[in-house]
Amino acid sequence: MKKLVVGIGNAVLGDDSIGIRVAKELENEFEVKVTTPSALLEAIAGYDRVVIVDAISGAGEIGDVFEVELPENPRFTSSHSLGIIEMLSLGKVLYPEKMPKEVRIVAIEVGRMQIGEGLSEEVERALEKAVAFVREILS
Amino acid sequence: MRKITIHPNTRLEGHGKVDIILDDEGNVKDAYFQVIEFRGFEKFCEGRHVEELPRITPKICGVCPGAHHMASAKACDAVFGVEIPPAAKKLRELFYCAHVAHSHILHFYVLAAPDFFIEDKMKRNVFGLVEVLGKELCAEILDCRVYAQRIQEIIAGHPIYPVAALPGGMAKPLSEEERKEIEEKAKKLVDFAKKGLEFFEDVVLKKEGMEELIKGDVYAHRTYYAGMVDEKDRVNFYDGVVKVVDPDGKEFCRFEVRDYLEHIAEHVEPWSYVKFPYLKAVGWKGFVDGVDSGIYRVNSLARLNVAEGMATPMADEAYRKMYDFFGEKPVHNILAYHWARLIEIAYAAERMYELACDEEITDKNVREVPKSKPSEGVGAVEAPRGTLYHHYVTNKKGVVEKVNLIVATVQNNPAINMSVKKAAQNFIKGGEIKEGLLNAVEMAVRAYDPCLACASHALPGRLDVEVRVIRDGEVVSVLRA
Repeated sequence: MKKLVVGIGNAVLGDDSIGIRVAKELENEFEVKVTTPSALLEAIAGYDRVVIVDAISGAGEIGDVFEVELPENPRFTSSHSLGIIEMLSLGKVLYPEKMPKEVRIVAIEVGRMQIGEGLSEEVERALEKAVAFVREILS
Repeated sequence: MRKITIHPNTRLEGHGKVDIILDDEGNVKDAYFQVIEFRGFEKFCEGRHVEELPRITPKICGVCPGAHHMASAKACDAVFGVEIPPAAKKLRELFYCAHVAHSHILHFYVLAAPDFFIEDKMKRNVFGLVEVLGKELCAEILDCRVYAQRIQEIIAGHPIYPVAALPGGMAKPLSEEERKEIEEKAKKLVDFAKKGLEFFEDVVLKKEGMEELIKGDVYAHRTYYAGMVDEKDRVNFYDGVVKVVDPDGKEFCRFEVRDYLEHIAEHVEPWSYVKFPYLKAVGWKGFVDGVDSGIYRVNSLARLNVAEGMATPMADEAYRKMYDFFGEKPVHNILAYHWARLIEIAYAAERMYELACDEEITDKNVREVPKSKPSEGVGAVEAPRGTLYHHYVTNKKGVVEKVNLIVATVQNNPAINMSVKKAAQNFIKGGEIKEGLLNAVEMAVRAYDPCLACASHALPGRLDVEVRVIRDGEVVSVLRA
């Protein structure tokens, strides 16, 4: 079974880098890629089990770790951009045979989204929990 | 673990905010478009070794990292006063054409095209596009975008965040095997670009009311235009001089990118973080168009408007067809930015194919190691969204002391504000807000393909436009998609 961890985020935008940090922590255990939502489909094609890790905003307290579920019948009302959810839904429609059997999304609530390296204290504390959760999913 | 469900229509905050102010009669008095700026990035670069910047500045934005990588590498060449070997220049241009093609494909087909031919506004998105165009064609669109991304990866080491361009050239040459893969993919992109042009001419333009809309006055402004051209005045994304034409199409000036500060100044408004660039020699006259206003535009249509043609055959033919259709040059209607993007995809694809077949492209000599002391340098490229300037000043050890970046979206910022106002004026009369206002405003913004993502990315990762209508200081309506 081919497993993959995908880290999404901006490495120099404070807490937005959490997805990349989680992926890097796991690179000795699993295959890891860092990419953007627009290049997500080609990154995950051909794998069996994939965990995508990203920052989230407005879902809870800073440092909370969530599993994000895709809505059953998503309603798309905007054409401004393609995010993770749109790309995964599009993948299912256009390339069902190439899409992994299992894709899970782990998201960490972020606070400081300013240019600079490093995480806020709350998100730094959440790093270990998020890493453990991704490991549990893939083990 | 707590589970949450994100619906795509979940909204946290509109990234692009539009405030429409009504006068006493309930008509549009002013409209303000606000984006979140990448504040702080210039400071973040200071104190670092200049040769690190081509790898750091692509992190400004997940949409146009290739443009920052190239502008930064060129600025570094200038800082060290080094001429790069011919093969390095060709490799960079090949990489860069792939970058532009990838960005334009995404923008036109996924973000802009649904506006043009999907009637049901609830389906005006990429999934509606799948219904209209079919799965096969949509898969081809995404595949071609992936080919362009793969070409970037082969040359620059990563499909999104390039690392190969260094001061003095490139980190690695191209192998024959890699060259063959690029040639094959570029060929597919040329075929795809041809289909795109035919699609626009045969389907989009033939749609009822389209000719009227695209030639009409609703989305038109008579501004100056700026863009880089080669020695024969043809569009060039990677290198050249900046040419400016006036609203009648007459050449106003041309300058080397290192002299940009002599020609461009920036106006500041208290309500916006983003500055408003204008032509120094004409002056800032407010948010008005015409020959007396220094507002200029960049991006695809602007590049075509300043040029005399395209440097490759299919793109050049399409270029002439576009100006024949309008019967005038420059073209002022912002919806033509989309057509211009398709012409540029054709040019990028044809140029990639040419370069992939160039004997010199696999030459092993791809770097001239800088020997002179670093000081100051400016580098620019035509980013997909318009001219992008990187300006660095270093100390004698190459440590960055000052950075100035002028990004394309900021240069179009004054015009975006004018377009939003004009679109709003058609939909708000006597205090009555007609249906379609939001989409009209979004179309006005989207034509410029503004990069609103520079500062912010987090799930759900959407770039929304939120429109607020304000009368007597009170918000009377808030519209979101």
